[in-house]
Amino acid sequence: MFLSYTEAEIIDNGNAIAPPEAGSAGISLVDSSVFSQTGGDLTITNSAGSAPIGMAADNSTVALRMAANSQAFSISSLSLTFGARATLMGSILNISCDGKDVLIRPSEYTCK
Amino acid sequence: MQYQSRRFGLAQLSFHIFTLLPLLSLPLGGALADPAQPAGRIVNCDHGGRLAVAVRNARPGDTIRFTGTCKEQVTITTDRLTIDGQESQGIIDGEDATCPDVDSGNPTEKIAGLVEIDAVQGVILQNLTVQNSLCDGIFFRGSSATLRNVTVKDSADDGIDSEQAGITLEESSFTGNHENGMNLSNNSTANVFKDVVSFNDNGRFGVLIHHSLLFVSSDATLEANSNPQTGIGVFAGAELMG
Repeated sequence: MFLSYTEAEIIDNGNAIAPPEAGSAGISLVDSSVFSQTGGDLTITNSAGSAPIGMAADNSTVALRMAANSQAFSISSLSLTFGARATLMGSILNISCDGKDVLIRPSEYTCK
Repeated sequence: MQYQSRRFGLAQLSFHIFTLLPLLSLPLGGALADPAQPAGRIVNCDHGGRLAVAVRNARPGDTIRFTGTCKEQVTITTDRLTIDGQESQGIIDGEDATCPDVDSGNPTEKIAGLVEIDAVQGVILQNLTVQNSLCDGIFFRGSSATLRNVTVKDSADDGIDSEQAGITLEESSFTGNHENGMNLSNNSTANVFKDVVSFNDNGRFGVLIHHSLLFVSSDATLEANSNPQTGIGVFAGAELMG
């Protein structure tokens, strides 16, 4: 059977000497932007910098619906700020649903 | 005397015809025809061929195949043009080319890319490398195009830059560009359609999206690794979808 996947690999981005405002993230979403993915593989790890973040969403929307047994879905950390919304469905390996690895500053976060 | 002269003239004419016949069968522009290749214009930049001239003279639907290293700026203004660097992965090199909007001081002649795709549809670039541009590697202005097995590296600005463009990417890489691997802006759309498309080791963002859409299809892999600022920046109402 032929299987097809969308794969995204975003690793080792950011620079330790980047100024804080530069935002050294794997993915940065700013001002009403959207990131959505259904299924497939997504790996966002090893961001560097003054405030290393896997994915940063500022006043934006993140919607990820991954397979419940996905082994290739990994985000090292998630920052939601200024009204960002994130809906994460499936097995979220490296984001704890108790919010310990998620910065939520007036934002909305759903983890199922 | 007159008769002798005429005989000599005929002999001389015959000599010239037989000498020139093989050359007359060659296409223009320093090109060499390869009988193993399908029909279409072939340019050998290592033997004096000018890719820019062939592109300028192309007609809609033409295919231009080239080999070697073409040290020139190329502007595409013809619909459905295919430029193929073939198995040898032809090179368009900006080391000796200029970016007129930077260097000429002529404000009416705005060229932002070593390869410009300007207000045309259905263009295909395949099996080629664009390198050492003094501005963007490839600039799309209101155009749609497919890049297939294309490498854009070491540009002084972005690898790809676009305004109101539709871009399909297959098995391509954008690396070592001093700004961003790809800069999608002003209602552009890019589809990572097939195989691995990578935006690694660029100077700022791997991919920067403003007011635009980047879509990653099934069967495709997007890589944005080791960029000093951010792997993928999605700004100002832009969308990234997988």
